This record gives sequence, C-alpha cells and structure tokens, in this order.
Amino acid sequence: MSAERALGIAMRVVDVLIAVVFVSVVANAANTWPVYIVGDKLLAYHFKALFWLLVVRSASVVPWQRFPVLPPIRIAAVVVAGIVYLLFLHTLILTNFYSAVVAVMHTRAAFKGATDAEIAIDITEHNKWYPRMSFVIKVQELVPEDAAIAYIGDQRPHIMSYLLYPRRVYALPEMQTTLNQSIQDNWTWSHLEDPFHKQEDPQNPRRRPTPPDLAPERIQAEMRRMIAERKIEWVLYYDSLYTDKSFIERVDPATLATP
Amino acid sequence: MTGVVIVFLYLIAVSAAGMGVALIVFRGAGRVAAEVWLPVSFALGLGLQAMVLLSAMVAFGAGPVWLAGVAGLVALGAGIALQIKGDPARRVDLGGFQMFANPPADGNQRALHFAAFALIAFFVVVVYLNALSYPFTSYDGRAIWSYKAKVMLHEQSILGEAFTDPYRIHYHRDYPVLVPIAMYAIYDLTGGVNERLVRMLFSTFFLMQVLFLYGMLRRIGTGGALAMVGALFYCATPFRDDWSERDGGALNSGAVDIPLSFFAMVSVLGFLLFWRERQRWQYLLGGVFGGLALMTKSEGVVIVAVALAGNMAVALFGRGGAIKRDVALAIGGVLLSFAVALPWQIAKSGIPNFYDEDYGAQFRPDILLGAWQRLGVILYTIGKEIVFIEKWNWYWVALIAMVPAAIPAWLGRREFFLDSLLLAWLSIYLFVYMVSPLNLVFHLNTSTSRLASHLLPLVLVRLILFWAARNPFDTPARLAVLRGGAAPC
Repeated sequence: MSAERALGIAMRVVDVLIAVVFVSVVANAANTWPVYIVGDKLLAYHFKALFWLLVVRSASVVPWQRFPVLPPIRIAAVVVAGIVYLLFLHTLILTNFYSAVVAVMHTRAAFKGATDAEIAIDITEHNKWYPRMSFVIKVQELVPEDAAIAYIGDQRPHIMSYLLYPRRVYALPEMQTTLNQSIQDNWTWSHLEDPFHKQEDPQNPRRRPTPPDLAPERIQAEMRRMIAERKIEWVLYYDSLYTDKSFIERVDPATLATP
Repeated sequence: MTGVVIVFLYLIAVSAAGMGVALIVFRGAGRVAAEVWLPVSFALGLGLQAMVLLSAMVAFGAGPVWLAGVAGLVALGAGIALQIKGDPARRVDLGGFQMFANPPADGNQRALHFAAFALIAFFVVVVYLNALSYPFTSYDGRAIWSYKAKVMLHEQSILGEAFTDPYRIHYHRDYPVLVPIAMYAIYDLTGGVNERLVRMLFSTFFLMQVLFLYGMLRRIGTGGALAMVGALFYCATPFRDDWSERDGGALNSGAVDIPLSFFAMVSVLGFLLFWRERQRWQYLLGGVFGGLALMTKSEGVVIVAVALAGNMAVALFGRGGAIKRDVALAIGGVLLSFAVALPWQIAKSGIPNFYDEDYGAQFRPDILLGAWQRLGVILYTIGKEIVFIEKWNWYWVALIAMVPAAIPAWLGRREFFLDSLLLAWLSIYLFVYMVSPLNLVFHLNTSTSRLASHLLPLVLVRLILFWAARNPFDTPARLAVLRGGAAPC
C-alpha cells in the first residue's frame, strides 16, 4: 500500500468519525437543552472529540510534499498516531473550544445580571460556598462593620474572616490552641479526623499530634484580657457542613470571658 | 463593562509607568522588540507600584493608590527625559511586534507561524473570557490574597492590626504582597471588591508571559516558526486551562503562581542571555525580576537561590576565563534581587509569623539524617505528577527523555547555565520536601502542581533549544549552523 493511499484511508476514517460525533452532538444537545447545555460533561467530550477530529482532518489540505524531510509514509504515520492520541487521550490543547463556549455564555450571563449561582454551575469551591452565603449575608446585615466577632467553628475561619471584613474576626484563646495546631502544622481540620495524620512523625518533632497543653487558668486570663482589649461583643458559631446549625449571638463581654 | 474598561486602562497605565523604568533598564540595548519591552514594562510597573506603596505604608502609615500613579508619572518622565537628553548612542529603540514585522520568509514556516499565532490568540481570548466568567473564589485566593487586598482597600496599609494582631484570623499573614497590592489598586479603581474583574490581572500575566517567551525564543536562536510553536506549547499546557477555567485550578494557590512563574522565567532568561551576550540590561532583568519574585511568593527565595546556583556554575566551571569577576557578578545579581525586595523585607518585619513554615530551622543533623526515608514517597508523588499528561501534556516526559542527550551537552558546557539551573531547582524542591516541617503527604499533594508550573516555561525553553538543533522543518544550511555552532552557556 502506498503512503498516499494509507493517508487517504486514514482521512476517510476521520470523516466517518466526524459524522458520528456530529450526530451525537446534535442528539445530546437536543436532549439536554435548555437545562444547561454547556454544563453537560458528555457533551463536552463530544465537543473535544469533534474539534480534534476537525484538526486532524485539516491535515489533509496541508501541502506535505513541500516539507523536504518528511516523506509521505511518515505523514501517514503521524496522522494515524494523531487520531489515536487526540481521540483517546484528550490532552486538552483544544478543549479551549469547549472552554470558549462556556466562557462566552458565562460572561454574557454575568453582564445580563445573572447571579453567581446561576452561572457557576461547575465551580466547586464557589458552589460549596453559595448555600452558606445566605448565612454570611445575615451576619453582615446584623453586625455593624466596626464590630468585633469571636469565631468558634470549623475549618473555614479564614474565608469567614474575609467575607465579614471590615468586621474584625478573632479566634478565641481556647480555640487558638486548636487553630494554631491547624495552622502551624498546615493541616485542615478534616485532617485532624484522619488517623494517619494523628500519628507521631519521628522525623519531624515539630509536628504536634495534640494541641499544646495550657493551664485552664492561663487560658481564661488570656481570654478575659483579649476580649476586653478588643471589645468583642459578638460570638459566631459556624459549621460549614450544617449551615442551619450556625448562628451568631450578641453577648456581654463579661459573660463571654466567664468559663 | 465599565469595570472591564477601567481594569484595561489600569493595566495600560501600569505598563506605561513600567516603560519609564524599562527605558532605564534597556539603556544601551539598541533595538528591543515589543514582545520583550511590553511584558517587562508591565512587570516593572507592578513592581514599582508595590515598592512605592510599601515604602509609603512603612514611612507614613498609608499607601494610597494615587501615590503609585504619581510615582508612575515620575518614572515615565525620567525614562523619556533620559531618552531625549541622554547619550544618543545608548538610546533605546523600542521596536514593534516582530511576529508581524519579521515573520519567517519560507512559505511553510510562515504558514506554521501564523497558524500557531491564530491558536495562541484564540487561547488568550479564552483566558480573558474565563477571567470574566468565573470569580476569584478559591480558598487561598480569598483567604490569603484577596483578603490582603481587601484590608488594604479599607486601611491603605498592611501594618494595621488585621496583619499584626495574632488573634485576628488571617491566613499566612506574612506572605508577600506584590500581587495583593495590584488587586488592591483594581478594587480601589473599580469601586470595591470585584472577584471577576480582578482575574483580568492574571490573564494579563498569562498574555505577557506568552509574549516574552516568544520574544526570548526568537532571540536565543530558534529561528523560523519554532519560537511561535514554543509559545503555543506553553499556551496549550492543560494546567493553564485549569487555572484559567476553574478558580483555584490545579494550583491551589489563587492563581498567584502565574505571576511568580512569569517573574522567574524573565529572571532566569535574563541571566541566560547575560552569560551569552554580556549586556547590562540582561543582567538587570535577571536581578530585578528575582526581586519581583521575592515580593510575589515565598518560593521567590528558591528562584533567587537557583539563579545564584546557575550563575555560580557558569562563573566557576563555564570556562569563561575571568572567574573572580564572574563570581562577583553572580553574587551581585542576588544582592540586586534582595535590594529590589527591600521595601517588602522592611514591611514584613512588623508582621508576626506564628506558624511553622520555617525551613531554615530544619537544618538539624537529626532531621537531615532521617530525611532520606521520605525519598520514596516524594519521588513517587512527583513522578506521578509529571507523567500526568492531561495536566502537563508531554513536556515533562519529553524533558526526561532528553536527559541522555543533554548530559554530554552539559559536560561539554553547552546550555550549561540552563541545565545547571534546572538541576539546582529540582534539587532544591526535592530537598524542601525532604526536610519539610509540614505533613509530608499533605504538602506534596497541595504543592507539586504549583512547583511544576514554576519550572514549566523554562522546561519548554530547554526543549525548544534541544529541538532547534534537530528541527525537521528547518533548512539544511541553518541546521548545520545550529548543530555545529553551539556556543558555551
């Protein structure tokens, strides 16, 4: 078989694949429309495959004979390898095609005033936060901007601190020991629940599996001083997994300082 | 839409201010292509802004954005004055975009050049659209970087109690602030915190990185369409799609590793050119951009250290002749980096650090002797990362495949600086993991991607240089030159 003939056969195979994928794209789009067409993963893969195939198909119009060091047999080999590579590995060079579709739709929606929740279907971190935002907004409405808040809660104190700023968000001393453990060892709080992370690390004596052991009276004294100095009048109890259990309350600083 | 226009105007203003500094840096360089002076001006403008505002915060307690504007005007005025009044022989000739002015002459090469350009343009548009369509809401993006910018927006300082009170909840409060200062300026000019518009800053870093990579590849000897193809390779790295499309992306760092990667690339390529051509502006780029890396992320220290390692390798073993002078130059480059970052070092001294990312304290015999036990886990995780072609394409695999051919080149002092530097860089990252005070598995899982991204542009440069000598699309005459005439370093 000559190289030209091999190339011709390869291109016919590509043509058939293009037709199959195109029909599948239309069917899939019709099936998912108008729910959220670009959010459909299967459709995304179709887009990728279609675009890749079109790129491969375009190889047939390149005047390969003008490349002096690439004989036709090598071209055919490159095309066949390209089909395998593009179809089965999806290495994303041209997922930008799909990405562009998503980006244009999202941008258009954003300019039309759609909320983040309506737009950001597949933003994991953002999605995780959206249900919690109603609680954050309530806190923002309730607590004046110049207020100080003591935070008691789970592994999201930093984001809460960011969202509530310019309200000052503090870690209580009794919590500070735990927070320090988390921050100093760079663990997330979920790691604390993981038996593996509780193991001692003989190669790293600075990693503490348990919080430092401070005397209760020292913690209380420190807490009273800290609350008084910073005029903390609000306590925020926050649970990112069960937002309905989260609440904020106004307290008398003297009460707060009492164990 | 008004916000988009304001951000673009801000980015243009920053580049104009930086151009004033660039006209001083490039003095005596002759003609400089737009693919080089534009990215450099953009970065220098951001660096100038950070230095001025940090200095004002330390000196006066507040760094309002207008002050950076005044400083930018002064810098631009100084640059233009030097152009007009200075020695005409050393005047900078700001050239246009070489990709349009001087495309490859050969028909096939020209077609490949413009096809690659079309794809790059498409990718850049996608990156900007993604910026506008997804907010900047990753955990680190908000907790570390945007929080700092938000504080500065309200307090115009990093020396208030939001930074200094250890009880205030503030994640990594002593991380460098070059990027948060730029975010602060955008928030200030657009009327408040906007988690969409601010991402255009990172898209612009991406655009500038691609431009500079192209400009440098043209300069360091990859003729024809290869420079554009090399830039396309960078655009086509899937991780780039990750960070631009999803907010935290594969990097888990709020996209701030993109500016760091850009600064590192310019610093290293500046020194690379310097050891080849010995021009003052190249040395300045190497040192100044090392300083910008120091002001961007903690890993900037590693970048300055590897630049020193590469420079010392050339100075001591590069067969350059004047060892004493070259060693002094190598050390001087590092000192220049620290001088540029001095405002940040001074401002940082007032911010408490009460978490354990203290790698220096790990240099203890017991830790060092036990560190080798971690090697298996580290190599496994890094290996798993770099063969992940759906994130890094084939680039790391290609680099590993290139090693047998690169060793003789390294021993023969060809590409000696770049290979020594990459070797030092990988060694330092390996060593950091071996002595890490953090939980090792957690540390590896959250950081290998971003560390790989720091190195990627230079890995691509190395691959392109390797390919340039074997380019099947190149003319036989040019190939003969490339194969036979590889200069030391």
